[in-house]
Amino acid sequence: MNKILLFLISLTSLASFSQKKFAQLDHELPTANEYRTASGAPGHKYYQQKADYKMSITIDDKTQKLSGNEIITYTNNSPDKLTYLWLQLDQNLFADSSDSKKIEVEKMEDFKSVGDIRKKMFYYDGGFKIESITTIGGQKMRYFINKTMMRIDIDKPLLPGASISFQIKWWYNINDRIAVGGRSGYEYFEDEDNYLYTLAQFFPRMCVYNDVTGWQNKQFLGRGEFTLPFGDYEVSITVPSDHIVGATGECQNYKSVLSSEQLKRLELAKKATQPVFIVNQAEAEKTEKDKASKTKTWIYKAYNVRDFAFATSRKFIWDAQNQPIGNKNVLCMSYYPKEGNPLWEKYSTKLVAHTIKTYSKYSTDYTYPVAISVHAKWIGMEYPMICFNGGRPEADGTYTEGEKYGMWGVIIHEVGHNFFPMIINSDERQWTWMDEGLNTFVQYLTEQEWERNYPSRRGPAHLIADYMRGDKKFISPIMTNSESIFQFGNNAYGKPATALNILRETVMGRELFDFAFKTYCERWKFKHPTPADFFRSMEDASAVDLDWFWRGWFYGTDNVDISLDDVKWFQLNTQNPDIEKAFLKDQKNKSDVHIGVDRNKKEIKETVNEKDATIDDFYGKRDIYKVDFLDRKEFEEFKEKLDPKDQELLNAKKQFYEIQFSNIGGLVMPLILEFTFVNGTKKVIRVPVEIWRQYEDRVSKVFIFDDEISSVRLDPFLETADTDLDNNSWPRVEFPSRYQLFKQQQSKENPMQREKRLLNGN
Amino acid sequence: MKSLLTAVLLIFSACFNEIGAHPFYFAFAEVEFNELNNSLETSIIASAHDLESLLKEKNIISKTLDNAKQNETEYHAINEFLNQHFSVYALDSLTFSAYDSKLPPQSEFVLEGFEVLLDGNVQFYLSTVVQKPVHELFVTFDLLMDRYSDQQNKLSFRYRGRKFTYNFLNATKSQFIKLDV
Repeated sequence: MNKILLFLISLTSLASFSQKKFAQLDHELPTANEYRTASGAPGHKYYQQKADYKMSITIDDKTQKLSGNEIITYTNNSPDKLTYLWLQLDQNLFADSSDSKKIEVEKMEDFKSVGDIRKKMFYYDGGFKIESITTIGGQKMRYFINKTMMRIDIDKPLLPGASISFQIKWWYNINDRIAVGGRSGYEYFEDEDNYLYTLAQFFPRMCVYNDVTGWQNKQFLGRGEFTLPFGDYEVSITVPSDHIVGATGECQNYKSVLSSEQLKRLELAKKATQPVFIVNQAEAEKTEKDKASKTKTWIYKAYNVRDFAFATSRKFIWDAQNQPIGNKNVLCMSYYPKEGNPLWEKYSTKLVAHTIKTYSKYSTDYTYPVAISVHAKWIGMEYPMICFNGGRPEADGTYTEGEKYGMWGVIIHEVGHNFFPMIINSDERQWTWMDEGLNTFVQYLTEQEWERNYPSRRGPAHLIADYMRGDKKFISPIMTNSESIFQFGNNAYGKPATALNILRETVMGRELFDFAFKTYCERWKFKHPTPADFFRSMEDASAVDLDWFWRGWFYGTDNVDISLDDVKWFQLNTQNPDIEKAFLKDQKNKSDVHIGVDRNKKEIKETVNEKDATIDDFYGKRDIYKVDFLDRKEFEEFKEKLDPKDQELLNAKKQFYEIQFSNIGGLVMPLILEFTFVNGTKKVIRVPVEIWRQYEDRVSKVFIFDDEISSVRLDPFLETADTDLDNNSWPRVEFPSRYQLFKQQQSKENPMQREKRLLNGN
Repeated sequence: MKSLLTAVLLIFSACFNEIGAHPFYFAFAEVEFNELNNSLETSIIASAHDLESLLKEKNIISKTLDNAKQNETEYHAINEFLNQHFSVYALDSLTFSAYDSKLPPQSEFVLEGFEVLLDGNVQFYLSTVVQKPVHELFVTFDLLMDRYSDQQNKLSFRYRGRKFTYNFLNATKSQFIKLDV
C-alpha cells in the first residue's frame, strides 16, 4: 500500500511540475473582450483615436532654432468621456527637468578623467519652450507640464465621437546631435559652416488613449520610444531657400520650390527603375558654398500616419526611383551630403526599394506614396516614410566592407520600421520588442534576399547563444518594459528576431508561419496591437499551440542546452537458434577476459579434466552454442504462431537505438537529430517539442533503422540556439574554441596578398 | 581622492549618446585554459562600431579598426587597452585569500590578431601564459563599461571539457573563477 501511495504522489507531483513549461498563458494574457478577441483580431468594438495636425515650422539656420505653430484636431472615437488631454513633449528629454540624467546609475569611477567630468556637467538649453496654448478662438487653455508629458484641461468633457481643436506655439534650440546625441538634431560641418538637420519629435504630439492603457503617458526616459495615434498632417516648412527638404508625406508645392530642371528629373524618377538624380553631387557642392539669405516654404501632406519628420540642408544630393507595390507606385528617395558618397549614391535608394518590396511580401503592402532614406552620421532612426541612417565612408572616399554592410543593414532596418511600428502601430514606450524584434526578424529575411549568405548580425539561432547562456539574474525576459531591459539589443532586437526565425524554420515551418505572421500584420495594419494580439494571432492562424514557446522565449530567461547523454544499441531476438546461438557465441568470444585466464592458458599446460576424460560430466561436455533438433523444433512452432508480417519484421535485422536527452538549459525545444550510418548515409529526424510535455528534465526516445549508425548529432543545422554544442554529439565531439579556429586559419597574409602570390605563381 | 579627479584629460565628445536608441551593449569572451602550455587562450567579441568609436575618442586609433591592423603603434595600443579592460590574475592558494588581498602580477595578454566581422562585430584573439599552480582566476572584464552604463559582458570559461559562464556588469566588474571545481 505504501508503495502504491508513493507512486501516486510521485505521479501527481510530476504532472503538476510538467505543467510549468506547457501550461497555457491564461494568467499572463489579458482576458479577451469586445475590443480585442481571443483569436488575436481586433474586436467588433475596437476603436482608436485620431489626431490631425496642421503645422507651420520655421528653421532658423543662423541660431539653429525651430519655431512651430500647430493646430491639433483630436477626435475621440472611444466610448469614454475625456476630461483632459495628454500630449508628449519629447524634446524635454534635453531639459533640466528631465529624469533621464537623474536616473543614471553612477559611481565615482565614472568621473575619473576631466573628459568624463565635462561630459557629466555638460549643459545645453534644450526642451520645448511653450509660448501659448489656446482654443481656435484664441482663448488660453489651462495646461500642466510634467517633465516629458503635458496635460491640457478642457472646459467641457470630450464626448464619444466628438472632436476638439486647439493651437500650440512653441520653439526650441535644436540639439547638436554629434555633441549632445539624440535621435534627431543637426550635424555641423565646420569646414564649410553648413548644417544638416534631421528633425523629429519637434512638435507637441498627442498621446495614445485606448482600451489597454487609457492614456499612455509613461514618461520618456530615452529608451522606450513612442506611442502615437494615427492622423492626417499638413505641414509647412520654412527653410533657407537653397535648402532641399525631404519629409513624411507628399510635397504639395514642388513647382514653387524646385527648378524646372529638377521638376523634369523628378518626373523621370517617378517612372525609373534605377535611381535618377534630382540634385546631383556637383550641384549640391555648388549650393553648399553659398548661403542663401531668403527662405522658401515647402508644404507637405501625409494621411493616416502616426508621426511626422523631415530633413533639410543645402548639402543634399537627392535621387529617386519608382517601386511598384501592389497596384500603387512608391517613390523611393535618398537625401545625402557628399560625405555619404560613394556608398550612398550607389546603394541607398535601391535598398529602400528592395526593403519596401520585401517587407510588403512578408507583412502587409506598403501603402504610403514615398519612402525616404536620409544620411545622418552614426545613427539609425525611423519615422513614417522617412528615416535617418548612418554609414559614412572615410574622408578619402574609401570604406571598409564592414562599413558597407553596416550601411546596408541600417537602411534596411530603418526603412523596415515603416511596417513596425509605423503601419502596425504597437506601443513602443511599453514594448520595444514589438517593433524592434519583429522588424529585425523581417530585416533578416530582407537581407537574405538582397545578397545570398548576407552576414546578418541577428536572426540565425546560433547567433543568440552567447547572450542566452549564463546567470539568469542579468537577463530580462523579452516581455519586460523597454526601460528595464538588460542588454537592450540582444533582448529587444536579437532574441525576438531569433525566436521568430526559430518558429519559421523549425517549430511551425515556413508556410504556416508566413501565413500566420501575415495574418497578424493584415489584422493590425493601421491599428494598435498588443503582445497578446500577436501571440494569439500566430496560434489562431496556424493551429499550432505556441503557449510553451511564448512562455519560454518571451516570458522566461531559460536558455536552450539540450544534452544528448547516452545511446544504447539493441537488435531484435529472431528466436532462430542458428542465428541467435551463433550471435551469443560471437559475443562471448569478443567479451573481455580476465588477465589470469590468459596467463593460465600459457602457464598451465594441462588441467585435470583435460588430462582425465572421466572428469567431465554432462555439464562439462555440453556445448551451449550448439543448435540441436529441439531448438529447431521450438523455433518452427514459434514461427507457426507468427503471421508473415511479424516473421518479416523479425528477419529484417532492424537496429534499435534508445537515446537519452537531458534538458540542462531549461528551455524546451524540438529534438533535431542527424544520424550517420556505418555505410556513410545520413538521415535527419525531427521530434516535436511536445516530447518534453510531461518530463521536462529528461526524456528518451527509441529510433529504429535498417542499418547500424556510426554517429548522432543533435541540432546539426544550428536551429535551436543551443548554448553548448559540446554535449550534442555521440560519440562526443568537442567543438574548437574561437581562438583555436583562429589559430588554425591564421595567416600573415591578407586575402589580397595571397591572391597576388597566386597570380604570380609563387 | 583628489588625484582620482585629476586623471588623464580626454577629448570631449558625445555626452548623451545613450539617450538615443542604442541596441548593443555587450562583449563576450571565451577563455580556455590550455594545460599543455599553461596558457589562457582567449577570444573577445564586441560591437566594432562601439569599440571603434571609443578607441578613436581615446586616441588609440586614428581611423578604423581595420586600419589599425596595419599600424604597429595602434595595434600595440589596442593590446594595452584590452589588458586594461580584460585583466586576469592567476591565483594559487597561497597568493590570495580573503585576509590578504595582495594580487600577484597581472597575466598580460598578447593580442595575436583580430578580425572585423561583416556582421558589425570585432573579434580579438589573445593569449597569456600563467604561472603554475593555478587554483583560481580573478578576472575583471569591464570593456566598454566606462562608455555605456548598460554594458553587460559575459565570459564563457572552458576547462577540462566543462563550460562555465560568468556575467560582468557595471556593478560587478570582477569575478573569481575556480579551476578546481
